[in-house]
Amino acid sequence: MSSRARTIFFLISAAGLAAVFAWGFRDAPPLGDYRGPYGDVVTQVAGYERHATDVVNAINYDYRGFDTLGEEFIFFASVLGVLLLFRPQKEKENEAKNDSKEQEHLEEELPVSDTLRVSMQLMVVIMIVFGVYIAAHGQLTPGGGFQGGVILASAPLVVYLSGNAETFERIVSSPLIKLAESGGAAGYAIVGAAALFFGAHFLTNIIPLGMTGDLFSSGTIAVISALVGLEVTGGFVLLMKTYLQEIIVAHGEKK
Amino acid sequence: MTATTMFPLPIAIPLAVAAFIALSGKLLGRRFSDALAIATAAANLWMTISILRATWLQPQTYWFGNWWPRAHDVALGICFTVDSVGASLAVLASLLTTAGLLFSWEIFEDTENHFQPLMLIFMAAMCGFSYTGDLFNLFVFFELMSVAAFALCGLKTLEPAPLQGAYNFGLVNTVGAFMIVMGIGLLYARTGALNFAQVGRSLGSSSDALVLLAFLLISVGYMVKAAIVPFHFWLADAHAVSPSPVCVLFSGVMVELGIYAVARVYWTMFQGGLAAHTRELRAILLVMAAITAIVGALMCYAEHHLKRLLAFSTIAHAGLMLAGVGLLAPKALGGFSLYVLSHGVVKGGLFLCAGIVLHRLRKIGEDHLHGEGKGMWWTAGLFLLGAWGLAGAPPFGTLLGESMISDSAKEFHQAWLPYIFMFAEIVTAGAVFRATFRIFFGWGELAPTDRSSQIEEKPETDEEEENVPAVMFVPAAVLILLGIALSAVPNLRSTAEAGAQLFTNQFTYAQAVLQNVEPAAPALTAPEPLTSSIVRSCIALALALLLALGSLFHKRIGGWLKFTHSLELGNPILRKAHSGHPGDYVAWLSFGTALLGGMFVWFLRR
Repeated sequence: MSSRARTIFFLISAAGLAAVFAWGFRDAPPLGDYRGPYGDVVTQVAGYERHATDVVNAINYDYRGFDTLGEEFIFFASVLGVLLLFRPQKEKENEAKNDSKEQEHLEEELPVSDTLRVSMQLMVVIMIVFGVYIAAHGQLTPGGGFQGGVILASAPLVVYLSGNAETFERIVSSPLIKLAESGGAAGYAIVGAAALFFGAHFLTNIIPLGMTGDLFSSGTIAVISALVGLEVTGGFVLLMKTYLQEIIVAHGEKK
Repeated sequence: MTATTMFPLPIAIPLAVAAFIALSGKLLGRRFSDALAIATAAANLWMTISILRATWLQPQTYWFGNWWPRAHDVALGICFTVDSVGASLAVLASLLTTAGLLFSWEIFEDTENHFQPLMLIFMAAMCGFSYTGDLFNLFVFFELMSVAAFALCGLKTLEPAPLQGAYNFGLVNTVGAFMIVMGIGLLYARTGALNFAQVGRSLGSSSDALVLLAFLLISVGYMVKAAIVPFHFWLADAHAVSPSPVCVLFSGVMVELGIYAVARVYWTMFQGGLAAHTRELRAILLVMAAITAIVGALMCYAEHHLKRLLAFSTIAHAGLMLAGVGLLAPKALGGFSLYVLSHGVVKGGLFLCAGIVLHRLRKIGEDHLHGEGKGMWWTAGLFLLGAWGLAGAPPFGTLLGESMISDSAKEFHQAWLPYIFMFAEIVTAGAVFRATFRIFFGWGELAPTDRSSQIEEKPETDEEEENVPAVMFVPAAVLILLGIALSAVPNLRSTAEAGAQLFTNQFTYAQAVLQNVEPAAPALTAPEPLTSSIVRSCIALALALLLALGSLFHKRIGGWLKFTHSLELGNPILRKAHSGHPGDYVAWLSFGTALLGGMFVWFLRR
């Protein structure tokens, strides 16, 4: 199809689709009219049954924890996929060798002021504290492992932006990053399977629930939230490492 | 350990092992990762078989986190509801993954141990997809399956084609995924539930525009995965570039899972509301099935890139499988599940054979390989057997599936359906016969070339070897022979039909899930005689051979056999539609959705 024919074909189809949607939405419940019962029941029972003040995470990591296991592995598989697609191969090795040179080059090009450097360092500290806080309080306040992990993973990026590429390289190449990623992912499955040894079903909350509102409360919800935090931190750091390397190589090719 | 307590393991164990291999694979070496992955897949095979045996005629429900449904049918948790249809698909997924991993022992030197974990994740996702009793959980596993599949599809990053193929695959499937989420959202807005049984009960026999729109969006989303025309364009592109062991999973089970999902959502949630319009819905689905079978078969015969040829044959057979679901009857659905199993192993075996050709002959184009395969008689034999299986001739299991679907079609006065089966079987089997005769026997004219065949494919193995390693040949042979062995299982047809009766009964399904009431095992009915199916399939086999020979020798024989040549050259309009441009594919996807939606509005509204 020519570009023009495709556009016309698509627009006609889209118009038809829009008509079908308009027809279907005639019977949609009005905005804000929630008919339940899932939301109604879960908001009533979650605090009492799970000792969690964040009902969203009580659903994510407990009531529907099995979905979240799958979602965590969607992220894990995506990272694996990116690593696989960007892997250095025999014919690409020459490029990889230029890699380190280009990086030095890049550093020279980008002078960083002292003000920026100092303020970035301060920011890194704040980000790490905030990220750990968010990941650790998943059962209490909005947030949890996914959100905390993303904040934590941004910390090395700030290090990179402050011109400290060497430290960035050291952080992202650490085997601890891969350990966090894989350990967090496998850990979720293992916590789920641990329940089987107590004769309970998979992903049953087998840890004492503690006092509502305490940091160590709501049993496996807190544990899983922390594990997800580890996985997401590791995964995003690996992603950034891979993409940045690719950008540096591409940057070198352009010259 | 009872079978029920095993339900989460075929998902949890491969996922944990995948994470372990991704972490320590480099340290422990390629061979260790391979062995561990193969052992995990084999263990999965054993577990899924045990689960199948336990749920054979006795579906069972497993609530994650012990969250049993509360008063008034409110399910807060997620459940697996395993019945024979789903359980057998999980067995197929584990079997094909095991075969694929064995086959890859010799190939892919530089995947840095990312290949095995992705295969294990893919397998776990397919098992979860087959077992789940929850609408959103089905989508989660659909996504997990897709993400692993996209990455595996683009594995050979040194060529430009795999990235293009993976991109088309990813793009079209993601548009499909959007539709599914939207459909789930609409259903949730109406019912406030995500459990199949609970949604089904909540909808009851009511259906309105919103529910119909949800049904449209969810079924189109899964039909994209199922490669139903006109949502099928991504499939051939993805197969042509994927590594052979990955093609085995795509064609052998992933596509089939898309059709399974349409069946599952229809029978657990929508059938009550659509009961008054069963006839119209049946007609719509059968027309789609027939178009898919015809388009797939015609494109299949016009291909000379061996993997693309097999990919289009999968589209044709996906159309036949959709007919099994689309008849909306237990007998046809039982036929569907037998057809999926036997087609899955045969097609899986054929893709492994294509992998062997690429390994030994370093090429994949039929036009480049004329007579090159002389001496590889064992592989040639497997190809011929595979084509035999595609023709649905005895003693292959495809015959049993076809006979049940055809019998059911006759009951609904759709006597034309068996001829669609015959057409697709003749043409797809004929294409494989034709390629085999050219490559391994060097018969007849040189094949005309086409674009994809010219682009060719880089070999997947490092060095040329003089022989075919056992890890490649044995999985291929075992898969194809399983297609025969399947039909030796006693009472297969009556059990499949009984399983399908449980699958299609919305009332007992919901009772089993929400009230823990075990459904009564349906009585086994005596299967109908196979005579007419055997006659039809033998004619199909003979015509397939004739078609292949006609293409090879049309110049010498001439006359009326000329049509076989034009069939081989393909229909230019049809060919042009398969342009490889993702924009075209999305335009077709919107067109198909709008058209199907229009038909739903016209025929299925109150």
